Amino acid sequence: MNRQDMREGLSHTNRCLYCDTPFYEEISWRWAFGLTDNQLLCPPCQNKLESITTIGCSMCGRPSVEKTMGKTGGSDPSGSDPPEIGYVDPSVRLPNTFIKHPDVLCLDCERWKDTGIWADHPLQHRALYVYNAHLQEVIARYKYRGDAKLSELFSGKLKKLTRSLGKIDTVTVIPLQEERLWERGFNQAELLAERFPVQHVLERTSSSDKQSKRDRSGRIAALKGAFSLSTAARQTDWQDKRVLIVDDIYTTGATLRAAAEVFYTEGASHVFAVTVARATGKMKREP
Amino acid sequence: MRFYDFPLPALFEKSSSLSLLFPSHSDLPVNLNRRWLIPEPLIRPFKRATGSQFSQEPFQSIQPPLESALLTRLSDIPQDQLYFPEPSPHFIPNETIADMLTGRRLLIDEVLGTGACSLENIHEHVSNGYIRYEAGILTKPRPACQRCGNEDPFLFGEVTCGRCLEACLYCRACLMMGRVTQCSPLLTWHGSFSKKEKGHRLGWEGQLSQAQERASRKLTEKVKNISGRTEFLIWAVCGAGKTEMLFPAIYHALNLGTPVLIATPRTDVVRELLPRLEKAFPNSAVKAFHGEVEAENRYTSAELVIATTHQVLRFHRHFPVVIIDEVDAFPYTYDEKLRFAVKNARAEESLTVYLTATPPNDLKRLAEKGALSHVKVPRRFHGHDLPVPKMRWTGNWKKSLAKKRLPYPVIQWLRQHTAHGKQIFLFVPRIDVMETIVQSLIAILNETKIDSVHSADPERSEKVSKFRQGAIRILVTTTILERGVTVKGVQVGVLGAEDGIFTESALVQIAGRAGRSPDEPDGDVIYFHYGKTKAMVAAVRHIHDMNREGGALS
Repeated sequence: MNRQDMREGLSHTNRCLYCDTPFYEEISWRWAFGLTDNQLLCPPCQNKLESITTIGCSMCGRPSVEKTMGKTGGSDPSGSDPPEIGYVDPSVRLPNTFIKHPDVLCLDCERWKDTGIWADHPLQHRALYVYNAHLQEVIARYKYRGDAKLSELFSGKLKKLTRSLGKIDTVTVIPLQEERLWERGFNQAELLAERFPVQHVLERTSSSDKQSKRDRSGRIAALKGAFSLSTAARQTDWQDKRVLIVDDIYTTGATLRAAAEVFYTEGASHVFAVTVARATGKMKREP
Repeated sequence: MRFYDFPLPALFEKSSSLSLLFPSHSDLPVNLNRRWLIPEPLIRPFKRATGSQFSQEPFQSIQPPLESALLTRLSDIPQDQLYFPEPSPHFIPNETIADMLTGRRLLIDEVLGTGACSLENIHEHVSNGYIRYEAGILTKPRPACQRCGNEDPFLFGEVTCGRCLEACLYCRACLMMGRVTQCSPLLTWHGSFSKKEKGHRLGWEGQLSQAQERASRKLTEKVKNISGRTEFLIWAVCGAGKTEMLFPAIYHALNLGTPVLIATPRTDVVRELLPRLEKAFPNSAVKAFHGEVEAENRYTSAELVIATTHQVLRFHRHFPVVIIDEVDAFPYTYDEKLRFAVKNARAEESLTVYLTATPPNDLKRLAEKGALSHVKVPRRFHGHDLPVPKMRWTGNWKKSLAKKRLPYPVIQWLRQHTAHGKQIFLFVPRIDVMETIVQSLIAILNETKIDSVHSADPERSEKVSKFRQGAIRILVTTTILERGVTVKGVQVGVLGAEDGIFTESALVQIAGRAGRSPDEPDGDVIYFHYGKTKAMVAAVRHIHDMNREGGALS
């Protein structure tokens, strides 16, 4: 028995939730004491996910320029990588946590400050990963192909991401249009938030087409007043409440802001958002 | 999707608008004791559903029989309790739906997704006996996907479903073809199948070799006399001209009015076969189905179908003749899936033909015992011997590679052939060593037209066609190119032939890349190894035996 076999004998076999290949999880003391999460992805699939460790904008959580985690496996060589410079100051490297005074802003968030209520209402957002080509495939399979089980990859990590938030009064998700819900069979955001005590307080007022097919201004225009509070939620007192919204992808932030606006007009003090993927720069249009 | 579940015969007034949703036959047996299903959305549409997929005129009020009707899912009812009438002669089925569903079993979402019909249209065909609902997933005795046969618990997911509002299983194994869930029905067609018996033409005018001729005649004989479920093995060496051998038999089958299915493991092969078959059968509907076919062409009707394993799953009890090309090339794990797919796609009375150069052991054993009728084609179509592989010891090539060097025999062999302007396939066992090999080769041979290709390579097809055109001189590859690729005058080397991935059949297939062209029937095949394996010895013996049999034949 050589060393390789020994190691394999000592570790236990898993199957990758994404590519279904068997792999060995290394046994460590941390594992033995139950301190590590179960590894759900095989190392190659795991390594293609780019965790966001430092951010360049304390508002929208845009990752710092250059290095996200140095893992480049999944990024698309044909230019999905961000034209970040100009958006954020390359020297800014904040930890990927929520903070009290988000005052380091990227160009995008500066622009938002000129629109509507956003001059004096913050929407802090943090994401787990950079929305690279690999993650795009994973999310497409999750959301469009309907592989609901993949939510397990993210739901626990999203919960961890909100540790720095402090007290939250309400956790909610972006609702899905009824027809879309029929089509997909489940609300992708709701499953991602399964570790939170989710309350369904939002409703869609208009039927809008898929956001993924629009550009920035189109997205913002289409979402004007797209959400409202459900009848039951209107009875609640939202004054000075802290709200967290969970969704799958942050692209321009238009969807999340449209939803956040509902709470701010009702008097909420803070609205936060967490997502799995932060889109930066140009991406291929979704199918 | 849930269904309203009615015991039959149902009690409702014939004049009510609901009667449209019930079987159209007036003479339902009195003691039927079966159940009749009506999709929930037809009776209770969504608040804001903006038409399209669903009925335009919803039934406004819930009427008497509905009050007591239960809402259930297909998977929760014993399937033999369901009632489906025989096709009604008074009903004229929609042609688009008929074309799409004839010979197929499709997920209801696939049918609705084409936009060709509404749920109401579908149910109308059910009431008239042309379509039946079948459960997508059965849960007893254990979850099983009815489309792809998956029974692996890891490959099922469960989610609170927006359609049935319950915990609902879905199959992760065939997810890419549309999601089969516990509550989504599969649709099958039960109308008659119109046979087109005349007008087929064989547009191929080539000449079969003597060995091909013999196999072809035997196959045609089999096609003429299909009774029950029969199987037939054609064991033909690489380069025997397998496709051409099939032409007379396919032609014959088409003239009998029976559709023919050719199943093959890889999309590349489907793509390559299509133009050849279109040319050979210019008057017949020849269609190729693989994962990259656009949605609008995915369900067209055809008389001669070429499909990958996954696409075969869409067909249902349709083909009297099924030809499985390269039966051993299906990756091991797919084996069961293919068997399941073929079992479902073939007709009650059918002939299944296995076509291969390297039959898997079970087929070989059956053939040798005489339990499986078969024919051997031990000679290439150009009549020359197969090049016999040579073995060459290289020492520990992995160790050399760690120092960015390659074993001397390999370098020497490559130099010798590149000097004569030959193109070379260099097979390697693993993807992770490919890049080092390419870099070392470029440095050592002072030659830049060297590249590598593997299964997950996005530029795979471009690189292969560049190699075909000669723009790449040495192509380092994994076993992905072990079959199907024919390049004139190519030399073949296997580095690390002792690796377990190089089975006897892989090595025979790899050797079969050399000497394909009648102009250059020779070629080098070298197994570079660090210790001979049984597989290597068996591969060489296999090729020797074939050459001897072929020699005796001519």
